[in-house]
Amino acid sequence: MMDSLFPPENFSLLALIVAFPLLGAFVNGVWGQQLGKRAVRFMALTAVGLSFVASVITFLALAKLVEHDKGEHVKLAWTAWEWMHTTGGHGNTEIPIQLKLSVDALSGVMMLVITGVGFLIHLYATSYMEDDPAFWKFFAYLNLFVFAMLVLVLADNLPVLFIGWEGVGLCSYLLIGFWYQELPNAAAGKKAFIANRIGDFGLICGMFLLVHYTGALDWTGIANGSGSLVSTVDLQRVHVWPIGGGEFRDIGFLPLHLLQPHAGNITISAATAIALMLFLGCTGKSAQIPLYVWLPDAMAGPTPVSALIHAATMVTAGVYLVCRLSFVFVLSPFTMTVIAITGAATALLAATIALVQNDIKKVLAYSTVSQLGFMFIGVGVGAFTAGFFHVFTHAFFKACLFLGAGSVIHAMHARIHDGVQSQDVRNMGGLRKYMPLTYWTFFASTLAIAGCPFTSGFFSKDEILYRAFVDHTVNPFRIAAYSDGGHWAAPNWVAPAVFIVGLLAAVMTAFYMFRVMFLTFHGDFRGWTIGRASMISHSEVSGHGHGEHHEDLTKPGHAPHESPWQMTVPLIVLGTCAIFAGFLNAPIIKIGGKPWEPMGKWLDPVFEDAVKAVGFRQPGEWAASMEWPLAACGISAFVIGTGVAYWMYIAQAGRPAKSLAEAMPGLHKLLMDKWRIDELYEVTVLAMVDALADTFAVFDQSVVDGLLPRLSSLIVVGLGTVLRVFQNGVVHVYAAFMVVGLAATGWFFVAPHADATVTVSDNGDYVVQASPGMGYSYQWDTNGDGTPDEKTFGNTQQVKVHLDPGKSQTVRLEVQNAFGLHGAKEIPITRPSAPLEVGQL
Amino acid sequence: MTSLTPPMALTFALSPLVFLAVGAMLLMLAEAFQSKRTRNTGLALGTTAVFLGSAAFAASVWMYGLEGLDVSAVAPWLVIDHFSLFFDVVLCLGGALASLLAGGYLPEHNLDRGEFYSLLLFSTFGAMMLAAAGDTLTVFLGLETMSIGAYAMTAFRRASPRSSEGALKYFLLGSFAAAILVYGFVLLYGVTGHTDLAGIHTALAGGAVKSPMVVVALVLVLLGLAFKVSAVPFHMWTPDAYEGAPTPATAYMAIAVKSGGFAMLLRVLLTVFGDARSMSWSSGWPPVVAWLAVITMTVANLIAGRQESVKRMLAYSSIAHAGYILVGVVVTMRAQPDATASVLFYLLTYTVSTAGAFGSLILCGSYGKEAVTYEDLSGIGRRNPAVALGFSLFLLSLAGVPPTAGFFAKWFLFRSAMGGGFYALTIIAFLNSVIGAYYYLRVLVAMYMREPAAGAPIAMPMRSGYVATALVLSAILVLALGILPTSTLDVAMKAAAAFTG
Amino acid sequence: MSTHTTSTREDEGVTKFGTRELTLLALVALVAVVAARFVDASVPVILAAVVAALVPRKHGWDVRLPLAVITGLLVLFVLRAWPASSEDIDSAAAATTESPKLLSWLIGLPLAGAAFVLFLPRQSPQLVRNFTMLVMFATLALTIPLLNVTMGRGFHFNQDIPWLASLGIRYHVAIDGITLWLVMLTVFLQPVAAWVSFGSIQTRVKDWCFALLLLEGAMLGAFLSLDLFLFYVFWELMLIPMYVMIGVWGGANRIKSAIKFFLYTMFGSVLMLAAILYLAYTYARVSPTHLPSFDYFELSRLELPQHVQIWLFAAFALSFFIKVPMWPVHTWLPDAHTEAPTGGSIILAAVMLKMGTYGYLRFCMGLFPEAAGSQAATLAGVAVLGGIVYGALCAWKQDDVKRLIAYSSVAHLGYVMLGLFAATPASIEGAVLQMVNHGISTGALFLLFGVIYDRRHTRMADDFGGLAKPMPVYATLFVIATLASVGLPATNGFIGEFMVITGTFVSNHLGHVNGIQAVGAAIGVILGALYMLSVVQKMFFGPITKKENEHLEDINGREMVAVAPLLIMVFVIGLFPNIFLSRMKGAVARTEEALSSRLEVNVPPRYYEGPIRLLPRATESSPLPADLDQGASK
Repeated sequence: MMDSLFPPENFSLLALIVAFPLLGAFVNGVWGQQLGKRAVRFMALTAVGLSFVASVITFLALAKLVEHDKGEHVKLAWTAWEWMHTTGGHGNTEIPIQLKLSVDALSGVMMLVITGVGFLIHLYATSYMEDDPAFWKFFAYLNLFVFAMLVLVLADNLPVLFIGWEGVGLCSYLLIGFWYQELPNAAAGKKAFIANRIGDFGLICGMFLLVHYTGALDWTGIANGSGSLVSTVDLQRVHVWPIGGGEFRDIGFLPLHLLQPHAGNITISAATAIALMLFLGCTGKSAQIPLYVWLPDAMAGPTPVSALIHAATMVTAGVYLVCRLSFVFVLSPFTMTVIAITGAATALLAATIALVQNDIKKVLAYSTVSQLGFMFIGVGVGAFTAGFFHVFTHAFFKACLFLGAGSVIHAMHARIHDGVQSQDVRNMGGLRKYMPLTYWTFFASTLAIAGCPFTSGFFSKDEILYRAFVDHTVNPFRIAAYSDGGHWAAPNWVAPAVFIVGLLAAVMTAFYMFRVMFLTFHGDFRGWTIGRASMISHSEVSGHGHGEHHEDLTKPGHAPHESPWQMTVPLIVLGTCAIFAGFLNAPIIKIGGKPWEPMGKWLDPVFEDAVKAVGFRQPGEWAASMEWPLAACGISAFVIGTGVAYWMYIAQAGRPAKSLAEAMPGLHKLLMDKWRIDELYEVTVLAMVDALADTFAVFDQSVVDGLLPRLSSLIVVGLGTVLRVFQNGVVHVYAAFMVVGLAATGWFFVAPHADATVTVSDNGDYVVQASPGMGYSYQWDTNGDGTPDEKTFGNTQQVKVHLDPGKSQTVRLEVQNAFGLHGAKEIPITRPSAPLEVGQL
Repeated sequence: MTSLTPPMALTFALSPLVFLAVGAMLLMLAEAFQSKRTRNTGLALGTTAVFLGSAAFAASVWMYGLEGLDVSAVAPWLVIDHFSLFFDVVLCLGGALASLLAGGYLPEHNLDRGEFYSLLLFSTFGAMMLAAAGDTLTVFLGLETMSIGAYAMTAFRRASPRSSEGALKYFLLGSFAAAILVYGFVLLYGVTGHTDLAGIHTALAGGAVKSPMVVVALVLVLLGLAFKVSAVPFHMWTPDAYEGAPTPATAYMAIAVKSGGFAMLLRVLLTVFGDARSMSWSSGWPPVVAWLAVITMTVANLIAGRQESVKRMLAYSSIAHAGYILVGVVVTMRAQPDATASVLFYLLTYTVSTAGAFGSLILCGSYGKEAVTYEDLSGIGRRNPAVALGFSLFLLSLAGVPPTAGFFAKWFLFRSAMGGGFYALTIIAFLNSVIGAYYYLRVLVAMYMREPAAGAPIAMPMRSGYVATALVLSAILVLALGILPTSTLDVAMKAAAAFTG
Repeated sequence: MSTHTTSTREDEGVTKFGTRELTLLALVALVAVVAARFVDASVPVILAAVVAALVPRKHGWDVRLPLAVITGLLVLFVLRAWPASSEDIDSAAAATTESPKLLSWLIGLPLAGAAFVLFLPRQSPQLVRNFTMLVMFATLALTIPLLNVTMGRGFHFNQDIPWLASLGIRYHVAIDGITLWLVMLTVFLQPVAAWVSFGSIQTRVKDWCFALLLLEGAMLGAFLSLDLFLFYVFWELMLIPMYVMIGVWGGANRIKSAIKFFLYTMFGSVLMLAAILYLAYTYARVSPTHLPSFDYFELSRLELPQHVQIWLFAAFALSFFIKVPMWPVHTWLPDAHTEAPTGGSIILAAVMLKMGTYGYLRFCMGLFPEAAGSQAATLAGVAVLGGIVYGALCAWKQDDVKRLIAYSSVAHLGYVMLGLFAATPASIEGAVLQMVNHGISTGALFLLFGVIYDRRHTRMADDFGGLAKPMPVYATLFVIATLASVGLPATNGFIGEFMVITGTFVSNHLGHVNGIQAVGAAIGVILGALYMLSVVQKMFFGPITKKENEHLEDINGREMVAVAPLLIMVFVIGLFPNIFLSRMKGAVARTEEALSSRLEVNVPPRYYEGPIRLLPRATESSPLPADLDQGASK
């Protein structure tokens, strides 16, 4: 019945999946203010809920289809209409671009996560944002975000994906700046958008490269055309230096040839160029080095936003894209290595920063960046399934952590009416007994992210580290062109290095997560009196409506309370998933000798092309034998991290931390300041662009606008003024000028002007015609021997000269004008060897 | 049709001149016997009627066809050809417009004396004679008749020293130039033994004459002609004379006297010095005239941009236009009859546009508060929208913006220059027209975009049916010639054929 | 709106929706269904009805009705113009015979209207206003037949009659898929500009209306004329009204800007005139009839050697580049925009600048293919560096919002010119679409800024701040316009930029620099976000810094009606670009093939060498009228 209703080729249910949230966003956005809170809440929840139901149905249909034809890479697709077209490919053919949605194994999972987790977060938000005057706007944005995210994952070609890609960027811009009346929030939103735009720049470049080299932008088309991406033919490659090909030649005295590389032009394969550009896009969206800086600032937005956008869904878009185009990425071992190293570096950097932060949301933000680093390690080493699986598990535990933190902040905020203070872990402590539900769910997720054995985080992260150690992206042997061995291969130290860095990051993860948990939930509550004073100032600022709380500021306030069910239910669900989701893909567990990895099986068709290019670093049983030792490393990482945290913050009640900080204040400060990367960017990149812009603006005003119009008008005016001076009203002067004119004219006529025109006819006869003049007489020296033809000046006005091809001759003309003055002119004539162009020369 | 008897034919051929002369006499009589009150109305109307009548005669002669008329009786002193007839019409049109302007201007400014009209008539008579002159003597006669009238009109504001000063300069330099011209003619006579232009031409074209005196004569004649069309550097009398003269007189000098000057210039240069040797691009008069044209346009435009008095600006603009027309004169050496035709057409459009411009200027001021500077014009767009609109139209025509007559005039002129291959000259002319646009726009700026400064003396617009009529007439012509110029251009072509056919 | 919502409020909110809106909806639905029976397309009617019903309640029917009508018409436009149902269009085309007079009506109506306005009483401005709107709507209505024709490669509604026969000047107007959209843009934006200006301009309304109508006629004429002389006449005719608009109703130092604008353009156009004359008489020299001709198709048959062609190209190109404007002759634009009144800015930015780009596409590329081809790489470099990058960075540094938008125009038109230089089908289509896009989004930006300018009379971004609180609706609309101009996907801006960039990368006219130029163009995407978001943040977000901003009135009904069509079009183009692309495809293909064929013929060397001669008539050029044919046979 499903098939009859929704045939795979025209699976219009997809349209509904994306349509529901859009409708919700539209209604809430336009009429939300009139509808009132209940209606808005109802609208928002139904929209996402229905979308979730539709997704489940779709997923089942997909599963059925997969059952039907095993191992095939099946997809359900729905085409709205032809959007636009462009030209490209070999022979610049027209490339239609459809507004087309399609779902396969990969996007199916993403779709479920987005709508499912999304729904929980919506539910959570209905209570969290209760008191906000712009309640309706918030849900409009949230629904819009879900819509954009769904478009992103369900897109069937890059431009449509780009709609979602920029759409989520827009939504995060709006949501981060949600409390726009505090400038920092708006600024953070802008920062996020522009950082993402830098990524989008990469994506656009990737797109036109793909258009040119593969002649397609939809997944199937790219896959079909990808063969030519690794061609070693010079024309098919991307010229890096000199840019775009050609060669440097000297311009005047500029010795440009020095720039010309000696060993021929430097070129890279199209695959590398495309993959690098796309990866630039990913770093923007998924907050990797160098574009990660926007994510921590993005915590300015409301907590559910952080959870939804920055943990569960949006930031994973980059990983999704790499998985989606895995078959392109594997064609470029270089890019794969870059991705892996970037991932490792990001994981470590973010983890180190997270060690010391005190703002609970900041810690989670950096842990997100760090975890994304892990995912990129995974996809970078070619373990796409593992990387993607980490996306999956991370969605649960990180969302749960954020929501838990939100619940804590919510409670704290009720006591300390101050954005900053209420997020500071130093004001918390001992919350376990006030909000048990929050505590237990938070604990569960912390275990997961820290990689406690048999939690979801353990399986995904462990798999990544394992594959990072054993995997090796060899060159795709299916490409004949690569048999010449002239390709780039990753050096051997890369894999171990990535593994060790990853392990280090894992240790730190365990440490800082438990640090936060201990500081927040254990010990005694430290927030009785802190920040009471800030209430006074706050009740005015009241950007997001907490003016209702009126209590006596001298007494300690009421105790923190557990959050309402709308907030706790999502916590419970997510917490549970955080623990158990790992068993969907636990290859380390062998059942009947076979690794237990349903998720892997499910995704295999998607990655089958890509994985062909991936192999083990050493042949034979080596990889299998490494499995348990590496798992042991992972577990020990968890143990160490947790243990240290326990010793430091429970056993020693935080004293070692203090002493450590005092021991090396420099390092501590540096970590507190996030390695001062933001500052670095400000003084380098931003400063440069800024200076350039200033220069241009000044240049535009002074030189461009100054030189052309001002200067020319100045000249005109100046000349006018000068000439005006002579018009002085004195009649002698006037007469004098007339005389001058008379004299000039006279001089012209008195001076002799020898001049002649030459006409050639096809037989090579050149006729030299002296131009006439009153009372002029002429004397010719045709053969140019210096002696005139006649002794006297005559009236012969023209002479004829015959020349053979290639010959040349000089005719000399001397004139005598009416005043007996002589003037002369030499007329050199050359007959070209080429056929003559008859006519006047 | 039945052919006319010889005397009839002759009278008919000469009817434009005759009618004008007779009309002038009668008007003088009438004025003498007329009562003070009704004078001005009658006179202005009468003068206009006479002008239009004579123009009508010229037109009828044209339509009747010259081949049917034997004018050998007055040959070679007067040449009645399409060229002269065309100029008869142009000059009469100029005169008519001038007299209409005078009809409004003089009473307003207490200059209401009848002589003005007779001066106008006789001066125009001289100009028409000049256009028809076929002999150095008649050339000189016509020239002086025209000039003396102009001198007198310039000095018409007896009370104003500027007026007399301008007139004096004009007179001194004018007679100086005339003397030189005559001396040139004398030399020609001495060399060739002819006074009639055609005769001189045949004598020179034969190439028999080698005497340097011919060249000297050419130089002198050129100067005399250049002075009359006020080409730089023989222009310096122009601004003072134009500014000093009462505005109708200025308008008249700018249009009729200049047209007469160009008529003479074309006639003399193309008949006497029309042979290949004098037209040689290496040593003949065209390069000289080309230089004159370039200097004239550039200098005039540059100075005009720096004027504060609109009247003076218009004076310089008239010089600049003389420069453009000289380009056409140069082109005659290669692209006949296009070049001459474009010059004639240019003169026609220039006549209507300039007359309109001066007329609007008159209407912008009133007794004691004559509009002279740009400031005086500020806010006219609000105070007197109709006049402002007209003024803008005429100025745009002078600037050569489509779809006005001025645009087509420039178009034809530069077109023939391009056709003749004078690219540099054309480009210079084009760029000059951009500079020109600037100061014409200043007037629009003043009229529409500025308001008079607080307390500044405001030039109250005057009302006058005469001037209004003149404006409407020229406005219609400006637009008509701008949108459908072909028929007029064909006429000009026919007139120009006088020198080729 | 209240800062706190208590539960009671909430209930009100719900009931508030209940009663009135529901009845209204029901009633409107009824009307819709009834109307749908008569109009064959029910969707637009219903949508219009819904919009009418759901406009926020504070607005009366004076706002609801126009909004509804606008929506309905635009939806109708989308449905009818939908390329998928091309066979319907064919049948429609069969039904509508192409009347050759239509285009003359299109040009003549506004001009006649302008002339007529002169005779309306200056004392009753309302009458003048209404008359002007009437004329503009009539003109808009006249364009409907244009959409019912399948455009294809050729020209349509061809009218070609001798004007000044002896000079070879003809009155020749025709429309093809490229000019179609520029004409539509003009007639679509003129009423908007007029409507919005009637709010802010209260003095000398009569003159204003005169200028508006004259300008519309002249612009349409310039787009439609295929005779170079005619084109030049209209081209010059455009100057005066815009000059007066800036000079009379402009800001503080309007006069300087007005004169600057005029002289810049005049300077360019006289050189073009010289070139036109040269062309016409060269044609006369080589043509069998020895008559000059200004006809586009005739002149495009001329084959010119390099030394001639390069100069003519330069003369044309300079005058077009000044109009576009391209670096370094762009500096008149910021001044003109800052001083011009809102209505003037809209027309100037949205339509007039397109004269330059259109002129380059039609005349420079059509008449001087080799020159255009050989200079493309260099000029594209200028477009990228001087336009997209330089313009954007300059825009970023402006404190004056109108200056900022002006510089953003320089950047956007950099894309258009890049697309034209690249000269691949995709890039040209993108460029033409981008012309329309820029008209829509920049027009909207100027319009919206005019709203705040009318309230605060300052152009400095620092004088605002936190406006989102007092004027939420306004802020939303402004942000939408911003996103369109930034080129967010699914808005119009993206389509144009995407097609231009991809088209540029695959171009083979740009030599080996096409790659870096495409990348440079892509960088523009970042910079665009940089300056637009900066100004949005300065204006709308953060705390309210100035007292006078606290109680600003939000965008009112009139202004909303004015901006509605633009913002709807933003998404119409963004989602259904094929409506536009499908119609311009053929014409673009024709242009591109004509260009490349000439370039193919002459490689290497790129230029034709030898005496100037005439090529045989192209088959696709509009059919020659009888009299000209006789002239040829004679």
